[in-house]
Amino acid sequence: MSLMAQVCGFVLCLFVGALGLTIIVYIWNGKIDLSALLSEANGQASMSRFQLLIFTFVIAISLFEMVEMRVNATGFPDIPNGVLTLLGISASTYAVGKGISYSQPQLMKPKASGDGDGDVDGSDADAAAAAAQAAASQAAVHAATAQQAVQQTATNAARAQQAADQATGGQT
Amino acid sequence: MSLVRVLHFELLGFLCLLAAVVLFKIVTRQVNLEGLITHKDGSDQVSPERIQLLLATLAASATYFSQVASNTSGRLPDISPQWLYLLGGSSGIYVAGKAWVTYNIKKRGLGGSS
Repeated sequence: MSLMAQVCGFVLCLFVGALGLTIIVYIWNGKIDLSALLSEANGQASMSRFQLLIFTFVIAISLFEMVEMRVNATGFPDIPNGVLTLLGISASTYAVGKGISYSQPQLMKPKASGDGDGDVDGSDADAAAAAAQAAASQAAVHAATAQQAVQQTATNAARAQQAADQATGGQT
Repeated sequence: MSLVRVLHFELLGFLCLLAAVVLFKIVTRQVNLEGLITHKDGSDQVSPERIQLLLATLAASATYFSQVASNTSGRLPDISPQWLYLLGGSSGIYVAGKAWVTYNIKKRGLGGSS
């Protein structure tokens, strides 16, 4: 039984270590993308997300330190009401801020579609006009090419018809 | 070395590495911080409510860390009500400012479309 517990503990240690290492490596390589960790709906950074991130790390590391001090004690250390209230305030701020952000569709414009300021201004209109002009000129080129192809096809059909008529006349 | 110690070092290493990687990505701008302390109404002006929330957050975090570092009782130190009032008020100001800016954008948008 003791040997079994040792083996299970060893496997658990390996699993937790491999899991943690994999997560860290994936974050470092960019396979787990953290670029939008603090971003709002419009792509700009959010103060409430930043606050929640800081408090989460502070409380997590503090709690871990307390667990380490309680080597001889049993059970999980009690979390004071003040800490719970602090995390509640931070999470509520985040939730309300998210609600406000998503209540305004203009603020939800992705950054790539504009200049990132969350509103429709002159630079956005200019960029849209330039893109539309480029698309129109490209469509005109495609239309001319298609027209040439149609004319070529009609010419080939006429020639084929003439050849067929000549062949029919020769046989009769 | 017992398995408990191994597990302890694993978890401590994971937490510290995670914090270090996130901090590194923030410092090297791989995590987007653009607009963290500015208004979101297109003016790009510095927002006072965001500045005060940032300062209150950093002050509260540093204070709590110092309490944890000096604590030897093995229990998480409690946070005084004064700090909670401060953070609650600071967060309230931030949310109110955000709502006000959003309301103004909405009003401006409706006025421009009519």
